[in-house]
Amino acid sequence: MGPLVPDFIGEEFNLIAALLIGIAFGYILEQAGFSSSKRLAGVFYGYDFTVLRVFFTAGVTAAVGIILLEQFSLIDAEFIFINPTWLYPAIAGGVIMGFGFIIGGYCPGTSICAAAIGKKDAMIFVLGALAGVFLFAELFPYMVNFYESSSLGAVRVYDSLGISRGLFIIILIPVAVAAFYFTTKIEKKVSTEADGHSFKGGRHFAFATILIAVTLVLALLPEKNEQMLEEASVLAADPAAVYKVMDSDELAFRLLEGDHTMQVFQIKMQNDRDSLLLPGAALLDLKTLAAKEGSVLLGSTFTKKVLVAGDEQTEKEAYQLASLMGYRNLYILKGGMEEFRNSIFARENIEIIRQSDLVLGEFRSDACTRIETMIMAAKAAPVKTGAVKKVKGGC
Amino acid sequence: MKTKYMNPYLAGFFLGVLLIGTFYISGRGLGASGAIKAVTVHTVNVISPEHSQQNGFYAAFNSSRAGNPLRDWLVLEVFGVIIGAFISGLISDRLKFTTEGGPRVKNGMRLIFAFAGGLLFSFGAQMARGCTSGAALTGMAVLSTAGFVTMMAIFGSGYAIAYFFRKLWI
Repeated sequence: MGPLVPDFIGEEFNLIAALLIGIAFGYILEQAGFSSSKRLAGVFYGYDFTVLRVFFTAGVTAAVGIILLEQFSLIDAEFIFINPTWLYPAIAGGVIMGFGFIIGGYCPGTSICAAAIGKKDAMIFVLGALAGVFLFAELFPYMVNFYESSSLGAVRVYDSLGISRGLFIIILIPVAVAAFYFTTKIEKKVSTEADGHSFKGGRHFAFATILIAVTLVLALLPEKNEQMLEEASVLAADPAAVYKVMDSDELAFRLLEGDHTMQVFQIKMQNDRDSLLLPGAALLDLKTLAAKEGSVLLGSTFTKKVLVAGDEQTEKEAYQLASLMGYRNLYILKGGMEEFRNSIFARENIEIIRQSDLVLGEFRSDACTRIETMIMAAKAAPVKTGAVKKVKGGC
Repeated sequence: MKTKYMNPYLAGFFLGVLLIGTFYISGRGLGASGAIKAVTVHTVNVISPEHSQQNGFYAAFNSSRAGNPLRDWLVLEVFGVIIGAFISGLISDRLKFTTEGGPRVKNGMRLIFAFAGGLLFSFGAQMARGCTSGAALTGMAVLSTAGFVTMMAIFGSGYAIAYFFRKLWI
């Protein structure tokens, strides 16, 4: 399962891959005509829309391809680099880049490409770009507040717009097709030598049809994690389903013994008032569990994996989810944290038990004190969460 | 022999497939301005190490992408771009030392504007944390908000000001 870095190929090979990828990148850019500033600038003056055609086709192809890889579990969406958004710096930077594009006639990638085939203006553009980084760095102390402002994290555009991924694709691809169509019309009007004159209508129509068909297929695909979560909640709703159950006393006993064959996973719930984190437990929510971070934590086959949540129903969902992901040796906590609280942490209940069952009462009273101490000690130390290694990326 | 450029849709398709492959292999997208940044920072490191320690921008780069610049993913990728573009130019017979610009611009003027444009573009790319390749195209591939915002800002700004700079190109 991709990405191949860092599990399948090492750092050294990744660098060789970078070189080979770059060669292909440079070759395609040059073949597409991106080594010509006149051609690049044409997109802003209507005489040549090559940039728009190449850029949009590449963007749509890649977006569709990555969605499909994700869908068929060939690539792990949690592991690929999503460039995070700092909204205002992105807008301001983009506006400045627009000036650079019009004035300089290139963008950084295309300038390097054009410089490689001998364009002197491109070589000078690259020098300017080096100077631009230097200028930015020198002014950085005065801009750092702005640079760090309006951070939205690694958000997806459809989430920002508050629509589903399917709907976004339904909008995006026809917009691209319409853009291709209308810009070709514009191009033909503006320039008699434009590429648009030599395009064959039939091929264009076939191309557009394929894109629209792809749109429909993609729009109907559910997001993979959500699909699994849904399935798990259906399975968990079945009253006949069988679960391996651990009760509060056993869990308390194992916690006190420091049982290394057991790992507790505490599932965060929405509106969770329960801030009590069991000692040694990994805290995560169902979504994280469905993603790679969950599978890394759940990795070991031999440990008992106890799924703990505020209520038993959530535990059952987590159980079904983890077993859908192929994990075994799962347990749920009987009655959820609610019951654990009532039997181990409620001193008044313990007193009542003590009167009928002295041994159990003594055990619970002792467990209450010791587990509370363990929790206090754990609070002082950093909490173990679903943090796993990330692939580096970005500009 | 003067050869034609590749069909833009086909080139776009290949570029898209390359991007998918890049994500599949390396878990990241394509870039360009990041390599320019790496070269600049390493140059400053060599010329004045004290200076690069004091400035937050250099310091942040040095703590995250320290070491030999030839072991930097983006630097190697851009090194590849140079080779790939050169091979393409060789095959299609486009290798030539020349200055290219709009019909009304003299070569000297074109070079001054090219420098200014490069400076601005690169400045903006640092601000937006990526350029047309690293932020806009790659961002579009993973449907990131940053990708679409940056792309719209670049092209929106370009179209808004194109009229005022028309003498440079038409």
